[in-house]
Formats: sequence, C-alpha cells, structure tokens
Amino acid sequence: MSDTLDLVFSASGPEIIFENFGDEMVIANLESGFFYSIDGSGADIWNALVAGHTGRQFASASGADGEGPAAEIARFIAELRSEGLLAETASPANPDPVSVAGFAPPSMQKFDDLQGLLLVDPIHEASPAGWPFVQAPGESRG
Amino acid sequence: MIEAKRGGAITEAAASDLVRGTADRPFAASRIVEAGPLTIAIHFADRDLEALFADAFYPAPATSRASWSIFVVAAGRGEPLPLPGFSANEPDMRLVESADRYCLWMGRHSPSLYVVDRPSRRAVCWVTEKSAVKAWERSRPFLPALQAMFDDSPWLAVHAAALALEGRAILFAGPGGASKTTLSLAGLSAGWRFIGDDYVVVDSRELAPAVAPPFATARLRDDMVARFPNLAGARTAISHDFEERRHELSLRGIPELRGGAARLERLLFVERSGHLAPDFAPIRRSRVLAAMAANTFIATPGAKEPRLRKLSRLLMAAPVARFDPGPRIEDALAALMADLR
Repeated sequence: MSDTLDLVFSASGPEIIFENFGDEMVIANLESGFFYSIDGSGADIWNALVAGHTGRQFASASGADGEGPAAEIARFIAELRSEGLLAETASPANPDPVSVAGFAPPSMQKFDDLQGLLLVDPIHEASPAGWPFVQAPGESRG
Repeated sequence: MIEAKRGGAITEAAASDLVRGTADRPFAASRIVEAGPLTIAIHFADRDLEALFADAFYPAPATSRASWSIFVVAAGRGEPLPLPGFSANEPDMRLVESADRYCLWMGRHSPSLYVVDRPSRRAVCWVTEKSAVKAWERSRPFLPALQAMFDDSPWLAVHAAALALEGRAILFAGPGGASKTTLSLAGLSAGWRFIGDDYVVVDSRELAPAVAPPFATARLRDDMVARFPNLAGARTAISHDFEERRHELSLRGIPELRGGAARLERLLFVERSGHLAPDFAPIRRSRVLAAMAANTFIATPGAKEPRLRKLSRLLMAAPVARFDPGPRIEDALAALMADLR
C-alpha cells in the first residue's frame, strides 16, 4: 500500500478523458467504452495524480495521512490502475503544493453502456498513426 | 493489405478525388434542405435515390443558400467501393478520419459508404445496393456524414427526442421503450412543436443551449398507431427492420412543423420506474453522459473526444433530471408543461 502512495502517475493514454461536473467527475476510457463516475475526494485525488503529485502528497495536503484514510487513497489508486486509467511514470513527483479542501472517502461507479454496444458492433478505425496506405505493387516498404 | 501512415496522403487524396469526381457527374434531382444548423444541397444521381431519402428532410427556406453539398450515387452491379482499404464485403463498420476527411463504411447496417471532405464542404453517399437500404436509414439519411459536418461547430446529433413550447425545448434522452416517441408525438398532437423522436441536433454552447430537427420523420410502433389517428396521412411506408413493424412517417407536410432551433431548457432522462403519476427525480450527469455517449458513438462513429466534450458541455448547460412519465401520457405532458413554466 505504501508503495502505491509514493508512485507518480499520468493518465494512461489519450483515450482517457475526464470531465468535472462540479458535484462529480466522469472519467471515460474511449478505447474500452467504460465510463466512471468519481465521488468523494476521488476527483481531487485524480487531479492531483494527473498533475504529477503522489498519493502521499495528496494525503498530507488533505489531512488524510492517518492509517485509515491513507489506505482508502491507496485502494482508490489501485482501482484506477486496475481499470487501466492510470499508468506509472518515471518522472519525479511534482514539488508544488497540492491544492485540496479536505478528504472524503473516494468511490467509483462504472458504466458499461458503450462497452456493451461496441462488443456486439465493433467499429474498425484507422490507427492513430494516420490513414491506411495500400502498398503499390513492387513498392519497397523502406 | 493496409498499413498505417507513410503514404497515407495517397488514400486521403483518393477520398478527395472521389468527392471531386462524383460532384462532376450528372444528377437527376436536387433538393435544398435544412438539417439542424446546416443548409444542404442534396444531389441525387437518379429518381429512385431521391424517393428513398429526400422526404426525410425539411425543405430549407427559399432564401437559404446551401453551405454544404451531398452527392448521392448508387454503385453499378458488382462495382467495388471506390476507396482503397474499404470493401463492400466487410460486415463491420470501418472508419477512417483525419482533420479534413471522414470516411465510413456502414458494414452490415447499411449498404452505404460516406465520404465527407471538409475543405470543400462536400460529401458523397455511395449506395452499393438501393434495395438493401433499410427503413431506419431512409428515416434518418446520412446521419454519420451529417455528424461529421457538425464537427467544426458546437452542434452535435444525439439519440434523443425533443419537444418545444413557445420556443422553449425539452430534450428526452434514455433507453428505447421508455416512451420518448410516444411523448414527442403526443406533444405534437397536443400543440407542442415536435422536434424529433429519435435523433435531434443540439447546440452545446453553455450560454445558449438549443435543439433543432435534423429530420422531418418519425417511426411508430404498431401499438402506438391507434393513439395517433391524426398522423395516418403522414405514413409513407410500413417497415420490418429487425423483425419489428414500424409505421414510417414523413412530417414535412404538416404545416406547423419546420426546421430551426428552440432554446433548450431541460434535459430529461426518461426512464420508467413504476410511478403511478409523472415523477421528476435527480439523476447523476455521469449516468446520462454514459447512456447518451454510447448511442451517439455507435450511430455516428468518429471524433469521440470532441463529441464527448460537447455532450459534457450540454449536460452542464441545461438542468438534468430523471423523468418517469407514469401511465397516462396526457398527465406527463401536463407535468412537463408545468415544469417548463
């Protein structure tokens, strides 16, 4: 648990989109089709993590550095990782202070509306690298 | 054999050439129509294509100038799709898009290839087999291409119904079978302005959210027909898509209906939960966003991030609630009217 709190993360790719609605945050994985509603201090934790802060920095800034709250933060980070929303980076932690009002246990609800539709109705898209290229006969790939 | 990038400009140029070459062909008929915020000149290669699609749109006001053109053509027998990397034998949808161009093969859903060329503001709908065009596509033609045309604007086509009263609109999102069509057509019969029962276009700007009809159509299930005898004259066909009988309606002949936007006052997620009277309840925006994004992304693939941002802005721009219409649609309309006022 303590290791998780000391790691530095970023959103795991450009397919991870997040929107703050004020009373809740939504994180969408546009690749998998899963949407997540984030409650409690979850939005603050997410914002701190994608800004390069560690879970421990957040815990300290929010007064949640007791054993119970710290475990809640570590559990939430582990959940974000297991859903493929966060990826560990080798960057040093952001040394700036974390701006946060307080702490409420974070939680996450998962919606699979889009994922369910994509499973029965796949859409094949060109790779992010660009448009398809049909090789002319005899042309070298170089 | 398809590779990514390196030489991709060749294929992008093919899309551009296809649009240019198609536009130079002779066309048997043309219509100037209104689809949400756009005025579009639609050119049909033959009268069959015109009969399939043209009456699904409201005509544009006589003074309007088209800002986009769509060229609708049918392939010759056995003619392959005219873009490298695309095959008419592919059952799944295939999408290739860039900032300037959007190409979508509809696969098993429709015998159609859409190619949108944004720099020239022209698009091609290439129909491989006219007799295979399904009724749902005739009721909302070219929807993915229209969505691609909206991409450089704040507008977005969404799976929802909408009604307006005195210029103030309510959007009805939610799962199929929750009464969106019944509500919107009952509203039409009761003097509300019908905007759409299946897909509508929304302006997602937070200070001026609005909703407008892309199409002048509705689709009634058998069990709804008796409720709306006043719409019998609007019926154009009975269809059997997905083993479901539908009465296809063209509403462009109803004098009080028209294109144009109405200010969006309320977004309701219609969901039946057993209430014996119309009921409004709070709902989380995440729930609504997940449901609306799913249908939007599947029906109109592409540009997922900017379209998700538009949906999110829409959900911040208009108050959102869950709505159970209850067993009597008349009571539901009265409750909606009271809520608007």
